[in-house]
Amino acid sequence: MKYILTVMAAFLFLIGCATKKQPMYIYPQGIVEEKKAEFVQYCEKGKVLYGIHCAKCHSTVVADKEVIPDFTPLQLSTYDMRLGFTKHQSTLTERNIPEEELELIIFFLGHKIPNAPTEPKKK
Amino acid sequence: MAKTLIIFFIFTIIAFLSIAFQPVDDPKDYIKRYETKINNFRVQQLALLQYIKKNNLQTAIDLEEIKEQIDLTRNSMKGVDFFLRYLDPLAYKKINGPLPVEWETEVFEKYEKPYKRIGAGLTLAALYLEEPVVEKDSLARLIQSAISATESYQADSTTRPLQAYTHFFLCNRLYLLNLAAIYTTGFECPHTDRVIPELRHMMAEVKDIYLAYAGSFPSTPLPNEYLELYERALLFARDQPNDNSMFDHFTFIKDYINPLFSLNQTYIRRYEVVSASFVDYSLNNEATSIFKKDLYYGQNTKGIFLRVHDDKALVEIDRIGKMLFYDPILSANNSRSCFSCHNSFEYFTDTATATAFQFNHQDFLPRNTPSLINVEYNHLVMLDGKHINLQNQVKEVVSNHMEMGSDRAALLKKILSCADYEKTFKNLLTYTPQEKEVTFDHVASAITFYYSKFSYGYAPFDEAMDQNKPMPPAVTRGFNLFMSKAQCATCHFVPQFNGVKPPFVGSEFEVLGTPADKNFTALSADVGRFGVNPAPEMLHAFRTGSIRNIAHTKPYMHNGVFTSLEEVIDFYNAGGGAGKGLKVENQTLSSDSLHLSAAEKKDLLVFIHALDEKIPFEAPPAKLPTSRTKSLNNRKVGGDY
Repeated sequence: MKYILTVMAAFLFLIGCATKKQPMYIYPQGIVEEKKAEFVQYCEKGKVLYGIHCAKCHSTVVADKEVIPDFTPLQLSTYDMRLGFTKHQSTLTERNIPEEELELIIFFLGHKIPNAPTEPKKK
Repeated sequence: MAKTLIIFFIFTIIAFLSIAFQPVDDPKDYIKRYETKINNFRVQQLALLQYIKKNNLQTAIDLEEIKEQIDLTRNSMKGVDFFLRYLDPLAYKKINGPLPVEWETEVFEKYEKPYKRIGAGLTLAALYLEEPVVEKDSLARLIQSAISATESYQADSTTRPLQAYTHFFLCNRLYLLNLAAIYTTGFECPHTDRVIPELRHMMAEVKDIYLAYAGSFPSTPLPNEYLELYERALLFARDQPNDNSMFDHFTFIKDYINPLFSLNQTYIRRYEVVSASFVDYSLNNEATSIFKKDLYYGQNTKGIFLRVHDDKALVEIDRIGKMLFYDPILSANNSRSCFSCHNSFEYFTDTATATAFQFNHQDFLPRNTPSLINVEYNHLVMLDGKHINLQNQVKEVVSNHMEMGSDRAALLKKILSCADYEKTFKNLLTYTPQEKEVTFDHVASAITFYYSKFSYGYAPFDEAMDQNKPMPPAVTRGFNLFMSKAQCATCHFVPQFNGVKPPFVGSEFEVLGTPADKNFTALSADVGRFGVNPAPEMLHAFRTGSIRNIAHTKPYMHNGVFTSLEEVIDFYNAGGGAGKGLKVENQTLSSDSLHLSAAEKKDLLVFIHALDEKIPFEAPPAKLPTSRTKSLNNRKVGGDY
């Protein structure tokens, strides 16, 4: 019996290791363990909405992979996003993207892992 | 050969001339005109300040002289009102604020706490002169604030938009909307006898601005069609009586202001004007009339289904929303639905009781049920502005223990136990890829989408404005009273006749002194907006509702204390609660009597009836979806309350 349990425990441990992914987002400091799932859920929703509303203009494709740019915290304010750019004034309207959804997009962009800095090419 | 040369030569000359004389925009003169006007206003205010400092404010004659000086200064303010209101609406509150303290939550600030805005300037100074004791320092401070605020209009950061033509059509739009909504009503004008003279002066000054614009921005001109109509509007205002209660507000808006607005909207579209100002945040460039329901954007009625444009899917959301609206499954005891209080046979309110039953079916709720028609034209929802969107209201009402008493997670399970709901919502998930499964947001959004479709009807009054349909004289008399002597329009703004004034970015709250009972024995104990924003000015304040369809939505006021519109008009005529002798410290309504005659009250009622919208009401659904839980299948369409 003891033997079976040990094997099972080892097996579960191995599965756990295999499926343990790299964290996709930067957790806020001091976040409690129980809130992490909810936090990720918010980021994921924001990511989908980013894909719908922003990716077309803002994302780039590098080696067949989508690269979502890093924005500075100053860029991520709904007021400046909506009114700060000529193009956004006709696209990023309350009619197209309500405040609730824009907040989710900002939540995602504010917590995603920054892109690796691109190495300057050696000559 | 020579012929060809000559033709070539002529062609070259024509080409040269057309290039040489092509209009070139140069904002220099236009900006200079602006700077001169602003400076004149500043100098006039400095003179007023000196006058106040020298005056000893002892006798009635002293005060009368200051009043005259204020009127003079107001005139030069009206000369630049066109710019002041648009370029910096916050600074304007220091120049001509209507109240000493205002609390605001504008659309883009919805997630934040209300902001306190301190008012100052000419209107408050003129009103202060009527106080029993006038302190020189307090009076001077109101003017000093206005001078500082005026100086901010000379700063580069404020004048930068003047370099480009775009600001002009946006300033003009706000100006035209204000001509329709406030400039003729006495809003932010302390003396009624000055309303029309100030209007005339302002309109003439704006003509001067139009001319300066034409000289500086020839490539995006204000066409002659507009200028000619504006000229006729000037003549109309000139020939009208000085008394704003004799002024023909109806014709002024119908024949001049609204057509001018429509033209300006076509220029905004033609010249591809984009705005970088929050002033234009809610306004719709596509709206062709002030009286079209798409003039401004208040609420997202589709909620999470915002991106659904496919007709088939919209029909499904509407169908399921309707079912949910009538389905008592939303309440903990499966006997109360939205319909229980928002009766679709009674304009989506309950005309039978002052306030509806609580969930316990014994006690009563503290507030009257509001109609759901036209709620989307508000930025804050509920009488106390507690909710920032319609879907949050649905979420709260189902879980409020006094109303429907449900637990939201359990409720969602109950709803999805019905195959029809489950299947429909699951099919709709493709439109909301950010949600992996059906949430209560889907439920709430279907409900708000359903009931909002009754908010797109038009009233005979709108048709008179837009299509020139004839109106009985009593309607126009009633409207003209509404806009002037009866002082209704200073809170119930054209065109929705609710508390949202141009540029339609915020909702206003007022303290009326509504009594607890018809005999005015006490003030209603309900603290109103104070419960959400505990500021002393907000005690007993409520969000201003719309006048549209109110002939069908009795009883009235937040507590349903009045059962007829006659009683409501009598209440306002008496000067609200304070006018009726109640102690209301912070009433925002004047406590003076309006002195309305019986005939005038009748005209007001006739006008109110002309705001009855043609609404395509629907019969309730024949039956509700069947649940897998058998005990749920006894529920009645609309519930039992």
